[in-house]
Amino acid sequence: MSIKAIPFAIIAAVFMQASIGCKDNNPGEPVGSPFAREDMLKEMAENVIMPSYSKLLSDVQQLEADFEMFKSSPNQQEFIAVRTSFIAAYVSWQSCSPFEVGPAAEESLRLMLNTFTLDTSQLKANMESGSYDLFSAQNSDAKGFPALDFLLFRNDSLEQFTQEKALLYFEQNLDLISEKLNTVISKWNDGYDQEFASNSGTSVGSSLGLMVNELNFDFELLKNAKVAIPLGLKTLGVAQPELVEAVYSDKSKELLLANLIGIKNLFIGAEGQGIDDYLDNLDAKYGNENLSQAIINRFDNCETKISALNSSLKSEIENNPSAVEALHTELQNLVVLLKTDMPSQLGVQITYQDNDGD
Amino acid sequence: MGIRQAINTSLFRHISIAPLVTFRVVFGLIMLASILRFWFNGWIEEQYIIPDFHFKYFGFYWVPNLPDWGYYLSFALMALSALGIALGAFYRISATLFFILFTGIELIDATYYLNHYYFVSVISFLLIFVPAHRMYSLDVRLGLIKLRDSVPALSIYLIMFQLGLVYFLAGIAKINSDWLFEAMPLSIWLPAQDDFPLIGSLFQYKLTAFAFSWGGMFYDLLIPFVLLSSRLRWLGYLAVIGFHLMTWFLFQIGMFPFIMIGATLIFFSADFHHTIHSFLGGRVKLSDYSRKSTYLSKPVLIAVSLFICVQIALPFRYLLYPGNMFWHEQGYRFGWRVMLAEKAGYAQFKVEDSEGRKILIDNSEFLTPVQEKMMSTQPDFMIQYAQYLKAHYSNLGMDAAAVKADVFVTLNGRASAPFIDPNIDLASQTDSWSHKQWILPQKSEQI
Repeated sequence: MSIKAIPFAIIAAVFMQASIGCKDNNPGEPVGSPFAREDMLKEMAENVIMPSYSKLLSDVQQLEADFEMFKSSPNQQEFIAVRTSFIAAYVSWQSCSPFEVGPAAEESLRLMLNTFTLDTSQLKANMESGSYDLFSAQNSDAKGFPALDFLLFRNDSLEQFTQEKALLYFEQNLDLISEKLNTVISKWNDGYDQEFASNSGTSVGSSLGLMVNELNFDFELLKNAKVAIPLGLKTLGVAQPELVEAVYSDKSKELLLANLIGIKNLFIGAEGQGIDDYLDNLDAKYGNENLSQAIINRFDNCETKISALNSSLKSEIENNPSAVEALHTELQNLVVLLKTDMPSQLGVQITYQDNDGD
Repeated sequence: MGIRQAINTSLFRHISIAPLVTFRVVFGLIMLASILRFWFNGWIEEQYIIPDFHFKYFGFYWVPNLPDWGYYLSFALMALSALGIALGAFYRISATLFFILFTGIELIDATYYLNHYYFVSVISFLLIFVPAHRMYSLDVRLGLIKLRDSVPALSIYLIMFQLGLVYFLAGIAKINSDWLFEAMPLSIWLPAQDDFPLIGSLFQYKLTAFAFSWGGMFYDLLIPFVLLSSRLRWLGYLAVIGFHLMTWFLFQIGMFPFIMIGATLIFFSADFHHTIHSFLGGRVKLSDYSRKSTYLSKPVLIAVSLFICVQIALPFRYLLYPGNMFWHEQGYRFGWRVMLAEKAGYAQFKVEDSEGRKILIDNSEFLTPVQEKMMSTQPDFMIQYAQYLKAHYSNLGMDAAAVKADVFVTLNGRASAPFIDPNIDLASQTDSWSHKQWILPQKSEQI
């Protein structure tokens, strides 16, 4: 056989193998109708991200107004109003937590607003001395919503809260939240919305890539920091119920649910197009069902397990840990799909480094 | 004609050195560029200095991690020796140093394995032995070595063989049902690139993925032969440029396309290379070397045969393992399997004490994203990681008795499925070439 015959022999051999192995396929069908990721991103910003920020902003403004009222007439009724509007704002924050892209990433919004567990001794020391920089590293665990939670709920009587130093610390943290939030929102309105939609590739720095990574990061925080750690899954089964989020107001269950729904809302794009629609467009399957539906089902399972807890996550960890363990199992089931099937089918990259495809 | 004479006239006959000289310069310069790119991307720090833990290759656990300055020094010397190769300056030393440093750095962390890094190691190993510095080199200019315009044909054939092998085996690797009959993973990767200029909108169609899959397979299988044919060579080289530029635009594939575009120039005729050299100011007049011959050297012949056998056998060692190699990845590396699998895994490790109480591990505390990505799908890395975790928690005073993991893997769009036996103590496993029984068989499920 001459060297020139080799290529033809190869082609013949491969076609022979192909004709044996060929299955029914419909290669002429598109993967989906041509789908603009740009439209999805635009809708995600319009239907999920901006409304969530606006809701949080109005809740924070309400909290500020109630706090002003309380300062002018510090009575039990106003105290309860401040507490109520604080919880509303903290709940609203939970749906903004996954959006740590662009302006929020620049402002480290999540770190600024909701780093827990709270370092109470640092907070007390700050309050006492009156001189501190909330932006410094040593105060990273002594600010934001957890600080407000402590000041408002450490004691049911309003005596401690009305101390001048406590009021000042509260006000400065409230200012911090408001200022950071306003900065993020105005950056979105001043052009990042365009940038977000037009950065419509699938590489690491693309909006979809960032969103997928941040969605997963926030979900891991939810699963680990809010459930696994207090449950004792990182401490040989020794529960640490005092490490739940919002331990003073004891609203951790409500916040957890809001966080989960917020992440789900980002996935489904609220009323508009979301990642789920894009997965459908790619015809992404999970076994026989649509991957998007499999993910939504698992979100729903988690939601059911959270709703089944009694009103306090802390007391459930103390008294009924098996219910929280069941929740953790469902969260684990969901994270598998969010971190393997979803990014894999979307074709998003996780790092800038070279790869040759595995 | 006896076999000895046949070998003498084919492999040890002298041919023009020109293609080898071009190869030397191009390879050295591309390596220099790659090293600088790696450095300026901050990857020395990101990949070698920041991680607390490095994964090793089987048999190379002894390769030590370096102090921070050691990495910078290695890369600096590597850049210098790449330049040395290009200029033909202290060539043998440069080539040896480059091979040792490059391979040594690769051996420090196996999660960064790329086929083209392995390719660079193999080529730089060959360069140590071929006299690529006998013309247009500083060594000749400085009088360290005599000018010679010819080399034993074997020197050039060996590099051509290696290049041809990379393509051909990459083509063979594409003959699998996912690639040909499901157009996977291109059916996932192409729609993600539908903003590609001009033809991006075509990427929505499954047919495009099929065309690319089949085209890619034929390209890989045929290109070595096309490049060998003097009539088709130019056409083939245009295909080389087109194919590799396409992959460069589409994928995060690094320097590989440029290495191949540069390296395949070696297939061109001596005249072609002389023309380039003269155009660039080369003044060497060529002698008549057609009757010159080095005599057959048995040790050389044995060494070369051995090298060729290893190069052919290594990629096929996967056949010794049961199941789908793309799933279990035993025998995967060193096989020229480029861009063949879309794989992602999630690994929840658990360190247990002797009473069965657990600590759940957050991988991001110990691994970089790349390391975690690679570890989550590759069983040998899971053993190393488990042993690292066991040592880490033992050092903290914990009675770390066992390390287990729940691992889920998705391959080429199939539903994620359990990957290993969740009850096995990974820390007590020893890596070896034998089949790892605790890898669960792939669910034979359609995509």
